[in-house]
Amino acid sequence: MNSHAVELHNVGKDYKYFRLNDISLNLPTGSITGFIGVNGAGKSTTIRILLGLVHQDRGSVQVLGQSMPDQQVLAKREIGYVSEDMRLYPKANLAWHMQFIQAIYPNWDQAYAEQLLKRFDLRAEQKIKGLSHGQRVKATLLLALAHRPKLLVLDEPTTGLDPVARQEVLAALMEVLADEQRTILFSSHNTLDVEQISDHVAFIDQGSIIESTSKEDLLDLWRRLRVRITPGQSVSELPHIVQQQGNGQLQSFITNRYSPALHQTYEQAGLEIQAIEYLTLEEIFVASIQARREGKTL
Amino acid sequence: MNPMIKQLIRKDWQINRNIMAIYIGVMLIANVMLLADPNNIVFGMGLILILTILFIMCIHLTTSNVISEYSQKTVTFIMSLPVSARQYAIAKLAANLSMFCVPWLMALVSSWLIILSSDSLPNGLTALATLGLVEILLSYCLIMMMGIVTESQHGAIGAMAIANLGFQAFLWGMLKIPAIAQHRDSNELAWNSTELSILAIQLVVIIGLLGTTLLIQQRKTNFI
Repeated sequence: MNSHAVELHNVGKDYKYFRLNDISLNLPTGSITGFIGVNGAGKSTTIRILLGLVHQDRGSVQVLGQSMPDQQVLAKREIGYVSEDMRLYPKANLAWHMQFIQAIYPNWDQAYAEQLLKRFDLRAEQKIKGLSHGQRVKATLLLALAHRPKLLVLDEPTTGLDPVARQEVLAALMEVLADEQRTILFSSHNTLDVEQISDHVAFIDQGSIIESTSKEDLLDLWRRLRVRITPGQSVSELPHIVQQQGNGQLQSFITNRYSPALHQTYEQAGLEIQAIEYLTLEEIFVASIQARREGKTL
Repeated sequence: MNPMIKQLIRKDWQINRNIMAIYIGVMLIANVMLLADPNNIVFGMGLILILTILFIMCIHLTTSNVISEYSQKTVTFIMSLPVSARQYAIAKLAANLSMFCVPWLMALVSSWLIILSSDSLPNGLTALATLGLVEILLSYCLIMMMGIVTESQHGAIGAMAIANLGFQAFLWGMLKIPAIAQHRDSNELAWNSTELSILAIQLVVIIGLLGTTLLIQQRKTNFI
């Protein structure tokens, strides 16, 4: 079995006003990767490329061992895709969609589909045009999950959902995590959602992947240090400081390489470390975007 | 035929089954109206109704099955399934052509039967009726091609304008060709070489339009 469900190597795509900058990204098989970026960062373009819906100008894409876009038919037999801008046929009902998908995928699990129907509180006979946005997302998710895909690609599925629908969608996703062979790519600009369900995280900004690592490592390495510095002391030479706030003696630093050794280095430099705090994924995301835009190398 | 293409064709038929039933029903009524005496107003109304149904279908099928897949974003759902762009284009062409061809064939066959069974209509009229109906089929292929290729309402509307002008010019031109005008008024059933040449050109253009559509779709690199 391939250790990576998705392998993007130096993948580039040029549009008139946007460029995907030769990105490389690997998704380990069985992982849940949160793909975070602001609107227009390149999340959807990347996802469309890995589904073969958009052809890359450069680089190679392997999905479930298939070369994309050439082998997209084979790859898509094992992919479930839910996108915020995906729509079902408004005049048809959910039962019709379920039959349609069932006829296409031999792995369709009717019992699981009915279980999801109940869980999502959906009625199969209801026409799609009568569903709310949250119900439409859940219906699309049902269709994607019930054929038991090896790779589940979710492009901003929780965008625009009310808090209850969002939690239901996230809970369903948490449930499918039980299958260790299923790989999930979950794109969002909502870091809270990603933080809840993912074990890997990739940040994308202005068409470039700026971070791709395990969530635990990320949360462990990024810290905020509240320090007291002596008047006149320069901190610009200190290593691995991503962001500095405050002007007086009491300042706070954000570092992306926290370790006991770094702690010691700062103390030896004369800093009095008063507190060490973990950062949320959102804080890490914002700090890394700002640092990169300021030209800092992380 | 590829099973996925079959599924997509079936899908378009299922989505449009109600409106297709209406089109076929109205076409049947129009055909019955043609049973009236050719000098009766009912016959004329039947003729107008047949042409109206075919022209409406040219526009409606392209709008509802092609353009709306892009504007309503259902194409994202379909393209996420195990289907290639080429298979999607083949399925779209086959589904739309088959939907159009059911009422179109009804019109063609009934026109032949009515002309051949009527004493007041010359048999030679079958050639002109056939060429006229094939020209409508050609117009539909052009509109559908522009809809699929441009994925936009504007492209389809442009093609509709060209097809409409083209059809008027075609009819006007046909009646100006002496070989066709003479045959139209005769009771001779066999087609002359002029009519056969025009039919051959029409069929070549139709095949060319369908082939070009597949070729362009195959070369596209962005589908949504």
